[in-house]
Amino acid sequence: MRWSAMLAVAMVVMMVGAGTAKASADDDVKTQIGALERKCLSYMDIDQKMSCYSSSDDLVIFGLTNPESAVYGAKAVRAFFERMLTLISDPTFEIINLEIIPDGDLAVAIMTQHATATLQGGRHIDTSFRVTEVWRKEAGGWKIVHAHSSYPIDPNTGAPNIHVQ
Amino acid sequence: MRKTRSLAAIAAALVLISFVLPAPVQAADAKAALIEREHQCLAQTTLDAAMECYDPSDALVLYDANTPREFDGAKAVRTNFQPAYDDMKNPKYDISAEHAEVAAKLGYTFGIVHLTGTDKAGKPVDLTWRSTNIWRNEHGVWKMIHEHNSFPVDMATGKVDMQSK
Repeated sequence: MRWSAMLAVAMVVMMVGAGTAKASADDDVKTQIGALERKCLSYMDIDQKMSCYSSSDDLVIFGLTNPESAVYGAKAVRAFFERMLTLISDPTFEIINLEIIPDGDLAVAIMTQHATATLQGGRHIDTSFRVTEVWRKEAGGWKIVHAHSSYPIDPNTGAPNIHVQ
Repeated sequence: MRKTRSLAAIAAALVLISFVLPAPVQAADAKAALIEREHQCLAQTTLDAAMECYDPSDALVLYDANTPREFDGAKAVRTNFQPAYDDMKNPKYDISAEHAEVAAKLGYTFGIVHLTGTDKAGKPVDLTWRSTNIWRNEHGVWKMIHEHNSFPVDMATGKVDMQSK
């Protein structure tokens, strides 16, 4: 066998091996992010909640409602969650249709979330919405660096559909 | 043989450059390239050109500002976008609070998009929304694999806020 043919065979073997290793690593990341998604949603303590988010200034959240339509930086995000956690009690969360796309030090999670809770004043809410989250592998592990939550508009009514299925 | 040696030399030089260039420089270049790609895509005036910015496969997922919850696959995304390209005249876009990050072949961008123009009846259109885009580099070209566009809901009125800054 000529050296060039041997080199080609070696490269193919290396590429197949690398592809298999990457698929396995991606599966590990999907499992980790899936578990983190569920754990982070369940946190009702502000320090626990913030442990899921990057502490950097490039953390940005696009929330469901004004005035939190765009929250920039970890400090402002903390204030946002502090406010949210005082507004609701007895929350339940469910993740539907979770898809995780990892590559390198980033992973994207897209999903529908179904939430119920009691608001201050006793009003019960039951709602579903779309969520896109970007996770980044940092020194302290996987952290959310961007989250975008939203309701789609029903074109027939012009109103937000707060029960997307 | 000479050609093989030349190719080997080029490959070695590329590997060397990737080690010599500091990682932050490479990351900055990758971010700049992705932001430029986003601007190119936003400026497309035909649906065919715009769809070149998207993953052509069934894996593409769009969370658009309107219902339903999601559009799955390039065909459904194209059908959803068609009326906007048919009806809008002289659209002008700008993005503020723009951000991009790249890791391996995955990247994300987000920002606040402002659109002005006129509809087919000549009525002015002036909309502002949040946009998050997930990109994958396919053979050297960035394509969107997920897009999330939305308007926040005004808590005071329960209505969609189409001019949120």
